[in-house]
Amino acid sequence: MSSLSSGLKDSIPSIVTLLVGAFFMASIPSQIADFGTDGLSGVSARTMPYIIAGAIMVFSLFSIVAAVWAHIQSTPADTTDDPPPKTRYGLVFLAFIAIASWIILLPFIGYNIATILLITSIMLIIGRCTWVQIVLVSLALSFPVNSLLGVVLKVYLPSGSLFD
Amino acid sequence: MFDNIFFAIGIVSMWQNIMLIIIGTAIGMVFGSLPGLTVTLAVTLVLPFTFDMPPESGIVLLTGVYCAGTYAGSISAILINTPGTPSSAATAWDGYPLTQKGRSFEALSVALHASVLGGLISAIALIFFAPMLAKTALAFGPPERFALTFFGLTIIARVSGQSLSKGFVAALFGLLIATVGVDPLVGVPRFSFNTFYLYGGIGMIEVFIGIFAIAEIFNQIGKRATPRKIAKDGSKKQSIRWSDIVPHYWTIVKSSVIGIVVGVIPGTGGSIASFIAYDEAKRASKEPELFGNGSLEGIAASESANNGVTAATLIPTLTLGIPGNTVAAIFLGALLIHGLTPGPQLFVEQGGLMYTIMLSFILANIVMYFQGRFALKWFDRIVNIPDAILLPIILIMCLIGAYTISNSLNSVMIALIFGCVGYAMIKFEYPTAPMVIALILGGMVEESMRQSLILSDGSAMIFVTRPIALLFFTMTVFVTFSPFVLKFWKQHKARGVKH
Repeated sequence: MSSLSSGLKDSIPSIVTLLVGAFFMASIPSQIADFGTDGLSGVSARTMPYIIAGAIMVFSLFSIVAAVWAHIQSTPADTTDDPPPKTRYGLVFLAFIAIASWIILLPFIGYNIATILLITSIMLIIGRCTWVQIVLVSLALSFPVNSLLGVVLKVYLPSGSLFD
Repeated sequence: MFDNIFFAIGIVSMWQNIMLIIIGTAIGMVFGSLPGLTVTLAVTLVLPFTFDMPPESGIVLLTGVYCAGTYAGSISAILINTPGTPSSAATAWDGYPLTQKGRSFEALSVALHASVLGGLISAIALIFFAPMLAKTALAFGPPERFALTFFGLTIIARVSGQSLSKGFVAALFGLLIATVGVDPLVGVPRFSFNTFYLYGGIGMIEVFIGIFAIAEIFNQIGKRATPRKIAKDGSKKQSIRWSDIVPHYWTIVKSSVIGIVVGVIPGTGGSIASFIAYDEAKRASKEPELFGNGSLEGIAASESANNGVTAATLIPTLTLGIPGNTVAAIFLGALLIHGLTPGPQLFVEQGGLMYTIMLSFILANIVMYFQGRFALKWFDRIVNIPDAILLPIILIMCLIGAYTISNSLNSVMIALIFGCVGYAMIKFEYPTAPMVIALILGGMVEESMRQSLILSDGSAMIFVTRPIALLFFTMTVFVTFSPFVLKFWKQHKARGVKH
């Protein structure tokens, strides 16, 4: 029973891909209008998505069954690997929030300020850097990069609706 | 012919044109090496400046941008694991592992030499075989293109790593992503979720930025950016020599030829050429286990193939008026703007201009070599910057790169979403290479398959009754099953020896 549950635990990614495949399969009727099989080819706009989503589900199911079967077959001696190095998911989540905030704030506060905030928070999250480095890097990546992109490449980044 | 060649030499060796090539290659190198800024964008931005130039000078400038931009995609692929162009995706698979081992300079050096050789071989093919190769392009209809792209997909099995099922699932997700957007044949939106932005599909560069660069940044942060273990002994090599690629000459020649053949076929491009060349190099290599873990041969194959495409793409453009890819289409536009109509008559009426274009490819590759030699020493220093400073710089480059694709934050959001997907793939040991291959080739596979079925009134027999398509399908079967047959045969032989 514990083999079965640990097998299922190892299959979490496959369960997720199975669910995503099922979601796409279920959403095809609402997401792709049915105009029939474009008259000549016998293949409609829905055919490939159905095949792909179906194949994702089949391969995911296969992976789940294979993982559970492997756990049932394995002996305790088979699973004495060294534990993987610890990942600090909290920091990854904070970095995600920082980038997402940059995307949300950019139209309002503009590239320069948003970038200074993002670089400062990312460098603090990574650690092992001084405040001088943080100030220098964040300033270097904000105003000069913004000006360079505008002048040389004619790429204009948002200046911020709050300052218009 | 020789009159035209001498005329072209005179034009190309004018100091104004040499300066234009130098400027063009510099622009191409900057655009190609920055994720998000594509060769197509560079050529498009430069195009208006050519309007007031003589046609020869305009084409010379565009050639420089095109060649250097195609090559420079390898720089960011090797150094920061983010291909600057889709055709450099295969370069990242071996280039970045080499950077992590402290051998970035070697990787950059091999990429430069292979690119230059691939480009030169392609230019020579353009000079001597253009009319002959153009006929090959005419022989490629949708069934042949489907067979070729399907053949390109076979590499998925060999880049899937230890778990084939995970590789297939990753590839299937790549195919699924490729279906997002307006259907190419009937024009209905697919998986747009009522978002106007998704009507145009999910861009490859956004996905690359996400699953390669942002995912790696998350990964480094998760490990609390432990100082990278760059082997100091490996970093000592700081000179570029032709001897670096001597062991890979045959791979480069073979891959360049693959690049030329694929480049001649309209609607394919550098990505498929580099995947096929990479796969062939791995199959033929004495050290296939190094592929994906830091193989110089893999870089040589990928880079010579995608640069082999550059001049070859112009063969159908100049001889038939059929652009092989988007850059060739811009070249076509440039010719039309200058009052020149591509086609067989162009060689007769504007022979001098034609050979100027061909020779400018040779000159562009030579200039690119010397610029590359100069620039690589500076690029290589990137890996010595501490992570706490380098990661934020890469992050901002990626976010700006994603933004510039469509001047919209939607692209940045897509990149961030794929950053999360890529990070999950790293943590759960799903290979990213199959997803990238499927994403690049997925659209082509579906479109050419459906076009073929329209041609045949829905009969799948069209794929086996046309000789070139049949040849590619036979090769697909051979390449897929030959390793299993060989393994079985070796085991059988070993058992025979025991008895």
